[in-house]
This record gives sequence, C-alpha cells and structure tokens, in this order.
Amino acid sequence: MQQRVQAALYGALFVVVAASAVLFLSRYGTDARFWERFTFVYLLMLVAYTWYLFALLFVHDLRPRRYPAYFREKIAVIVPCYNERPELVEKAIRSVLEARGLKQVIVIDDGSTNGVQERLRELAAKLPITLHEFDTNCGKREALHFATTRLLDDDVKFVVTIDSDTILDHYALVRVVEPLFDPDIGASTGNVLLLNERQNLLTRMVGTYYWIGLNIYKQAQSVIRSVVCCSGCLAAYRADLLREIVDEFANQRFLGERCTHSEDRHLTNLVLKRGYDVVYVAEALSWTETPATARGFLRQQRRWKRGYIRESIYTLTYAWRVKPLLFLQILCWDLTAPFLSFGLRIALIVTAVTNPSLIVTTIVPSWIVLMLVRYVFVPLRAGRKLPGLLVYMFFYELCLYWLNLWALLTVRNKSWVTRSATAQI
Amino acid sequence: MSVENPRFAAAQRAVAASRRVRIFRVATWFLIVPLLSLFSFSVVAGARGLSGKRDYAEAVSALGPKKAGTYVVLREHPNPLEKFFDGGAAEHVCWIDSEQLARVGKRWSTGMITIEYGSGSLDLVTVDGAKAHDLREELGGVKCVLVQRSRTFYLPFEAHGS
Repeated sequence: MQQRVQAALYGALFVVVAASAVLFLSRYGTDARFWERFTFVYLLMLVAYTWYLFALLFVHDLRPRRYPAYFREKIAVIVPCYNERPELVEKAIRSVLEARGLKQVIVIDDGSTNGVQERLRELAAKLPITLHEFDTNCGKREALHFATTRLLDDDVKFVVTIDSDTILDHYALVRVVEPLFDPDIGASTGNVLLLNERQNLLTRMVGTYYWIGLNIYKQAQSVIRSVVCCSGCLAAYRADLLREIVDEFANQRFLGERCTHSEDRHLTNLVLKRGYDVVYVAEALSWTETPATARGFLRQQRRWKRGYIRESIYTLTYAWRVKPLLFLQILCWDLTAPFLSFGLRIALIVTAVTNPSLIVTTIVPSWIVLMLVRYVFVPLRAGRKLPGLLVYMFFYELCLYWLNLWALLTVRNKSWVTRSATAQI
Repeated sequence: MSVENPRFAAAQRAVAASRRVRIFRVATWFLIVPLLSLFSFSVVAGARGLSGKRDYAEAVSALGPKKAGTYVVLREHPNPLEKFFDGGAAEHVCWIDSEQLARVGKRWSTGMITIEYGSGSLDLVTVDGAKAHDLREELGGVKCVLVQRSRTFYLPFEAHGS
C-alpha cells in the first residue's frame, strides 16, 4: 500500500512540473490571466514560507533550548568505511577516541579495495576499537545494520554514526547526545564544518551552502523538533530505538527498487515516523571534506537530490499523522516548490534571450537584493561567508536547480556516484 | 590539509551562545523584520507588476463614450497604440475626417502615421501641441476618448467620416 502511495506522489511531481510548463505556455495564448495568477500565488507562497522560516528562527533566538548535561552514559560510535584515504580515516578514528564520553568505537570496513584495511588493522591492534571487515562492498546501510544488530554492547544507551572522513570536536559526542535525555527526542544531529573550505571558490561556496542548510533550515526545523535529516557526518540515536528500526531501515524499497544512498535521511524518517522528535545541536561540531571540483560536487548533489525527493515523498506518507506542521511544510513548499517554479525559470530564460538588457538592468539586481534579504543571516552572523553566498546564488540558479529535475527523472538510480570513486563524501 | 587546534577553538567560540551573542542575535531582529517586510512588499508588488499587463482596449471600453477624457499611453512593445484602436475599443476613441483635419491642421502641427496590428493597419493623424479642450472644440465639441502620448494626440483617420 505504502509503495503505491509513494508511486502516486512521485507521479504527482511530474504533474506539477507539467502544470507549471502549461501555465507558462498559456501566457502566449489568448488569455494570460492564468499565468499571471500563478506567478502571483507562487510569489505569495515564497513570502509566506520566508516569514514562517524567520518566525521559527526568531523563536530559537529568543528561547534557545537547553538540555541536561551528559553523565557517563555509554555511547557507541559507528564508523563505516569504504575506500577512504588511510590518513583521513585514522584522523577520524583518533578524533573519536579523543572526544569526551564513555565510548564503544566500532569501525566497519565495507569491502575497501584501496589498502585502507591494513591501516585499520594496525589501528585496531593498538587502539580500543572494534573492527569488522566485510569481504565485499555491501553498502553503508548494511554496515550500520550489522554494527547495530551484532556489535553493540548491551549497556550502550546512545548510538552515534559518523562518516569515515568526519573529524569530531572534543565535545561533539557529549553535546550531540544530550538532547536524547529528553524522552520525546529520538535522534539529534550536529554541526558540520568543512576541512577544506578555503581550498577554492567552489569549496567556499559549499561552506556557505552547508552553513545555510544547517544554521537556517535545520535550525528552523529544530524549533518544531522535526529535523528531516540527521546528517551522516554526525548523528545520534537512542540505542533501543535504533535496534527497533534498523531492520526496516536496511530493507527500504522505493518504486520496487532496493534503496542504497541517503540512508541518513531515511533513518531520520523512521525516527519521526514513530512519533519521536528530532533536533539539531549547533554546538556539536564536526569537520568533513567536500569535493573540490564542480564535477565531484555535482555528482554528490545528484545523489543527495534523488534522496531528497524520495525521502520527502516518504515523509508525506506518515507525517500528516504525527508531524502535521512538517507535513504541510514539505507538501506546500519543500518538495513542490522546485517543480512548481519550473515555468517561472523558463520564463526567465525566455526573457534573457529576447530581452537580455532587462536581465542585466532589472531582474538580476532585484534578485540579488531579494536573495540577500532572504539569506540576511549570512551577512549578519557569518559575514565571511558572503562571497560564498553570492557564488552560491548564481550556482544554484544555473546548476543546482536543474539537478532537481534530473533527480526527479532518475530517482530510482541507486548509484552512490562519489562512493565508488576513492572516498565516500 | 591539516586540522589545527586553534581552528577547533575558533569554531568552538563561534557557536558558543554567550549572553552577549544572544543579545546581539535578538537585536538583529530589529533589522531583519523591517528588511523582511520590505522583501515581502517588493515581491508582492513585483508580482502585481508582472501580472499587470494592462488591457487598454478593455479599460477604454469600460469608460464608455460619455466619460470623455485624455489618456496617456504608457510605453509598451510592440505598439502601445494598438490596444486603443483594435476591435470594440475603437468605437469610443475620437476619429478625425478630412474636413476636421483641414481645420485642425490650420491651428496645430499635424502628421500621419500608419500602425499595423493583428487585424490590419490603421492610419492615424498626429496632432502636436494642442490642448485637449481646444482639440475637442475644433473637432466639433466631441465627447469621445482622446488618445494622447506625451504631447501628441493620435486620432484614427477616416477620410469621409462616418
């Protein structure tokens, strides 16, 4: 039944794109009123969503949450690893061991072929970690499933998952698990910064992109305690809850296909589905690397956007019961807006071709000003990221937006894309 | 790539919500809210502008022949005058015939242009420098709609009148 609902919702997204295109074409017909009303309604929705987002952030600024302090409860840290650079994975593991908290550290080598196993074996021989090696590459889901069902100590209270290229701050573990002392909270996620942010203009842009994603969107979601994705870089779960959902997690299917990527978003979905809250902890810091080339970054984004569509559809199938505000947010904006705005973007392209001066003199300057207002938190709270924001705004319109459409068409594609290369990012 | 301790410490400070940081953050809302209001107003006004493709013909028709007045045509491509003289709207606009043109030509500078639009073409007499009231009197005290753009009146020409 759920598969059929998901298929119907997936089909509905194509209808949204088609409707947007038809409305665009209607402006050339005898009656342009439908197009004009559509444009007006879309922009009204944009304004309403922005107010909603800002209202949530205002609530957060006014009354930031406080959680009970950590007191030596046992935390299991699972580090799945596939073809990671040996020196980086070693840094990651050492940062986990140096982080505060009573820990059990589990490293799963997911059938690596780049020689990282030797380094992992050396580390396992001298450091207090549990290493398990898969003979072949089974995927990150299987690694998490195996660690949760077979390797967790009985007295583990919380499970933290990190990527094999994630470096943890000294206080990251204790801070990320502290919200879980609230019995209503099932999972929490931490702040992710970039190790290579200053490498080039692209990485600076990605740094801003991460900052916006975490400190605007995720922070706002955290106010309604419905963060939709506990990032794979740093996420914490109640151990008992994770044991309960991990089988369903490992066997997820979408449109008949077994799912591989975007496991972090699905795990979060399963937590929310059971009625638990999910929050974001900005003070739990971690560092990771981002692809430093446009090609690598776009590959990563293709995978993320496929997961975004698939998991947003999944969210709609249950959130109307347990998280109605989240349901409305995803239905009315998060999932539909990129597809609804298809016609508007085509209209902009047509204007750019037929009347280029209008783009330069009016549309682009107005758009920059409007976007700066929409992302006013960047200049106000992370001023150094302003150049990255300007690049991001153009990059989004020229590339990232169109990836949504590509992802919609190829949502069943299971390829990890970046993971099969040299590192999982 | 290296992970330096000072960077960790700097980032740590960046997220630590001290009392001063919190006060600053709350204070920034005095800037954010007006900006957001302006943003909302601009977007909505812009949207109205986008959807505000004026239907001049409809507007002229709505005024009716008895509501005489002067209307300035806004710049619009391809031809801003077209809407006034196309279809039913043309009935309410002031026309000019040969006799009237001769009288008008004695008082003001006149010219002739032809505009083309979907349903055909139309000859227009242009009258420069006239005042609407004087032009009406010269046309015979008419109460129809005068189409004016800048300081020029545009009157459809029909040699023999109707």
